[in-house]
Amino acid sequence: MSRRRGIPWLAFTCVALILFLYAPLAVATIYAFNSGTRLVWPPEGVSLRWFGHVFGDELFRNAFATSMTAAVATAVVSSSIGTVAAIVFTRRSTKLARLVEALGRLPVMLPPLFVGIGFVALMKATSLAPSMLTIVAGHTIVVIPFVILVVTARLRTYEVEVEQAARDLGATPLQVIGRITLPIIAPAVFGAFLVAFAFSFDELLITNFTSGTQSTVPIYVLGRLRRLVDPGANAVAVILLLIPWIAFGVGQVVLKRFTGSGLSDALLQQGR
Amino acid sequence: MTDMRAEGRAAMSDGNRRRIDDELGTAARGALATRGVTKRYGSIVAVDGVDLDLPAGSFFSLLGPSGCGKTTLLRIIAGLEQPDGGTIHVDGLDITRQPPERRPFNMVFQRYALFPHLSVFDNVVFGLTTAGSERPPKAEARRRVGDMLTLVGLDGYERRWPSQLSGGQQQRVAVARALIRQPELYLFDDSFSALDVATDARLRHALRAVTAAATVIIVAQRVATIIEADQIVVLEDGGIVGLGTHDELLQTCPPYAEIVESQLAAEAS
Repeated sequence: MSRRRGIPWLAFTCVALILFLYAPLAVATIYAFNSGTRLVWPPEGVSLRWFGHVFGDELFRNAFATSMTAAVATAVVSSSIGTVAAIVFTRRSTKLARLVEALGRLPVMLPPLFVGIGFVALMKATSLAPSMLTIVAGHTIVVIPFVILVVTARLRTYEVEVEQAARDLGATPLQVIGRITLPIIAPAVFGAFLVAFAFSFDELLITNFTSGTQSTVPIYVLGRLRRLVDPGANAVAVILLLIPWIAFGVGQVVLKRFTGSGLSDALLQQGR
Repeated sequence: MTDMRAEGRAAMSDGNRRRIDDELGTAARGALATRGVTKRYGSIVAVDGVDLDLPAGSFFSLLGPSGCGKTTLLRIIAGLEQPDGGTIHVDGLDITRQPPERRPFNMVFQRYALFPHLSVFDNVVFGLTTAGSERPPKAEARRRVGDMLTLVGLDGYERRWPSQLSGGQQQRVAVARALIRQPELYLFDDSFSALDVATDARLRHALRAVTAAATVIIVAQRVATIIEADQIVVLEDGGIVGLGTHDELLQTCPPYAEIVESQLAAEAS
């Protein structure tokens, strides 16, 4: 009896949760394809005019190029450094390695505002002008702990005996990393790469302090929304939504082809 | 014994057969000597001053209850663990500090340790492509992989992934992977446990021909697997409590007699 009474509440909670999570995304996506200039319900028609409008804006194109460059550079740098660090932390059990691992994870707990202010202070102290380098450095500091976390989880869930078997069969430590460790952890590294890319592409707070006069897509959107309720912002939101998903899809296909397992497998393995 | 070797030889290509015959014709290598080998994990002594002398070409076996230090001793010999004390010599050379890839040994791991991202073929051929291997031409390597898979009864499995195999099949791939390098010393860590009794017996018979020129150390739970060993070492709490043939140990080593009796009783019931 009590179970029967519980079911409508359960259904209500689930529906409410789904609405809460996805309603803003649905509304932004619908209005991105709205043909009218006003945000009214129901939308006036279906059109791609706002995408054309946004891509026709040179400021957006520059911001998009800056964001893409920063995101790719952040993803490459952070996934490379983070992977090497994760291998060292999991395969060397010295006190120093444990200390560095703990320090490497610390930035996860730092407020981005603090990181941004810290960067401004550092740039002043070293007379470093805001540039692509400072944007990437700011993003990398925050995202490296995530890479270490994801790759470390994968390294700790497969049997280290696999690497020992390779040594036993004549492989040098470098051959073990290249032929055994990296292919096995590739889906996790690629997953971390995408997380880093998505984080960087979307990052606003730290970028505000480190970008100087350069504009990124989030800064561009914020600038537009300050002036008016702009339907073009919805189109930008859809672009922001699509880019990580396209990267995820491409990554899934590439990894399935070359390693036999996709990103979803890597995420499942991390959960084990 | 003649039948066993004939069975193993029949499964091989001409090249491999000649190589094995050549090796059998020369003096066997792989004489192993350990002196005072000790390994501690904190306050626990896993291996306690073990002295062993294995003549080249001998068939040696380690037996004992779980946690007695069999696997740790095997891993120390393979170079996968560093001993806290003692030395290991092979053919008179001190190899105590040599890394595993430079030791003339190959080990079959208890949990197989197959490379999950490589096919059966690539797993088996791996040992012929590493820095410490002879790196034969591709055609030769392919033929040798085929021979080894025939030997372990996995003909036609070359393109399968480890995840597509049963535990017994994975264990046989692990055996083939170690055999292909034809080392001086084979280390089998409970490597036949996932096989049914008939496959276990058949594989051990076939292995005799391939491993005849080398020293073999087998860690096993089944007495049937080690009964023919030249020497059986009984370990307890990291130390040797018995050393001899099956018949000798039945008379002189109560822990060994106990293990044999308990297995016979289990089989009878």
